[in-house]
Amino acid sequence: MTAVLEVEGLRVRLPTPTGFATVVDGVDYRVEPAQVFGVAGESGSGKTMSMLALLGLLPPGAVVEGRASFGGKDLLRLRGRELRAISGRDIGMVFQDPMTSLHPMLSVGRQLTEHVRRHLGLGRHAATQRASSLLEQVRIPDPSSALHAYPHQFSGGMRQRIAIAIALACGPRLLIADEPTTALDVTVQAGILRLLDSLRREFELSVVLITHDLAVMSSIADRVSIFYAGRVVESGARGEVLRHPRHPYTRALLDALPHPEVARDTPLVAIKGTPPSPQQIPTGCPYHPRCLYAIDVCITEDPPLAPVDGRRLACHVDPFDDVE
Amino acid sequence: MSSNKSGNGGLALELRDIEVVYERRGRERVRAVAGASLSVERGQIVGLVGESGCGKSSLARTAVGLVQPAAGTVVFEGRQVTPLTRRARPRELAGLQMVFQNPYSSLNPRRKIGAQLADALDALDLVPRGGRGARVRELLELVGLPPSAAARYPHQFSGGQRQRIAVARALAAEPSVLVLDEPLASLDASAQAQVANLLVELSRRLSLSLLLISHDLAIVRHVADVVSVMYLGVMVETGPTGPLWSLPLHPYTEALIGAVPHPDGRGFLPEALPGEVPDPARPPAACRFHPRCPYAFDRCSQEEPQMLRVAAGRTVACWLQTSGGAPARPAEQAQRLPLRHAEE
Repeated sequence: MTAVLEVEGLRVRLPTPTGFATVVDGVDYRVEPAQVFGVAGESGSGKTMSMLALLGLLPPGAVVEGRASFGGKDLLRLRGRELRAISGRDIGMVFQDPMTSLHPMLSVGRQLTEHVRRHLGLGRHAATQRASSLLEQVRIPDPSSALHAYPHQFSGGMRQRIAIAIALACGPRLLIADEPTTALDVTVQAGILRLLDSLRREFELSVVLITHDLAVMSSIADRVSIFYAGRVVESGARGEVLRHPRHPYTRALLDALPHPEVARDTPLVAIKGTPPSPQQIPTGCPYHPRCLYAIDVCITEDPPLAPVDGRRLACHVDPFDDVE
Repeated sequence: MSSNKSGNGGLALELRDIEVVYERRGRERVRAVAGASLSVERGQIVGLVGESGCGKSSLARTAVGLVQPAAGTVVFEGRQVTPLTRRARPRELAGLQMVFQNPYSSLNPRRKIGAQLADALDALDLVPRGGRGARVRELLELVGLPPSAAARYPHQFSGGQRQRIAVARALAAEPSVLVLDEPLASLDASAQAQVANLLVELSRRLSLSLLLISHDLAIVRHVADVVSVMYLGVMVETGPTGPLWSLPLHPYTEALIGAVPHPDGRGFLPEALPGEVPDPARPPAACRFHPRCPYAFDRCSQEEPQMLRVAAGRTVACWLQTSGGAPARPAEQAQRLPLRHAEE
């Protein structure tokens, strides 16, 4: 199967008052057609920056290295109009807070039609029809009157559906969703997750789902990558990685989460310390100061992300090797 | 983690039939809380859950006197809580403290942590000047921070650490009840676990009662002894956490639990609750949940169900659960009910 998106050796450095900080440090991944690819990690782990880099949305002065093949082109080599033509049409993006991505003063219809008229060259009438069917696709009740309404007239969940409709307007092959349900109530979150799941089935859409919430990732992702300090520390099939985590960090993230089905008195285990700042990444394995299993080599040598038993793992110790 | 503690020595905080009404110029008034009751026993952790807009934050603010209720009373340690005015808050209420969601905005960014904690001590004249340093260190130690934290500013801490500092400041008043409004939202999983564990530990160690407002049921299940579920300004169910989770009696509680995603890698797709939370200015008649309820029958749109005790420690406001017999899941009760047609 050809990947929709293939990223290799992605490295992002951002200028800071004290020199460059490496926020993404050599990340590789593939997103297959009609697949939900989950990217998880704590805040500051580089998961968002690694996506913004693909769309040319990094802050000024950022230095990007690596390759990102999408539709036969390397996104990291495209500039200006060329990049916008692709990123606006073939890649859709949804952010955490729909209120910041929707224009508060423009009607929903205007925001939806502007997009398709620009990128697909549709006439006014055809564009309105398209907009209405998009709203139907994201299950907005009464799409034709919704077109005349403004973002503030909708609830948070409905706004996020509208933001998804806009992202889908030009029929993209890839949807990048950055914490799309973080600001929503669980009941509404469940609706958005179901929507994303059905869109990928109906339209063969590939989705990159960025989230700090492993439970959210567990519900719809097919493959997952766990980010730490700008690197991927473990990746593989969702069931493998989340049911039998091999990296101590993945394991620790799961142990910190309340699980609806385990006994109520199972204590939550917090990870000691805090994630490193990009200016002060520890030597060797960046996770070693917080790791319960670290040995000497972890302090000096950065473990490569290597294939092990059908997944990829960056750990010298691999302490859960035989745990099944 | 939470051994069911209950009934040791009466109520620490009681909210009775609270109504909170917001007047809006030129628009209809909103009854954000429409007659809700809740009580916290000494040393108990009570979780209050519900979707945004259900009135849980208004109720929390009423509990500490930040909001004046239109009706109902709040009683703290046997004394009525009076809403905050221009006057100093009555000294007796110092034992009732609040922690807000966002420690970024509740801490002063330009004062050192030690100074902010000392301010809290000075406000109540709790510690003689010479003893402040020691007490500040003690407060920091209580929330698991080193003494050196006193000399630093809020921005030098992570979100989770800042939330601990906010807790330390509330503890400065030597409270017996803490009301916490979404203290774990906006924290990463690990920081969330740390703060959640800390709250339980503090409650046990200091016999502190907690009223924990949260939209996150999964974490509340781990922390709280008792859970109250709120929907559109009213309480719909209250019960000990374990039984409430394994056998939710109100259809809304059941829906909230079904919507929680599971981090087990099995690909469980959570259930969405159809429809939206209605406008609190125009709540549905009778049972406020009936337009979204999969089991609603005639009576639900005609009469408002009252909170009724149906089993030990469990109260629920649902017509399905008031037909007598042992409480059971809403779906089961709905099947049992000949009421659906007989009522007509």
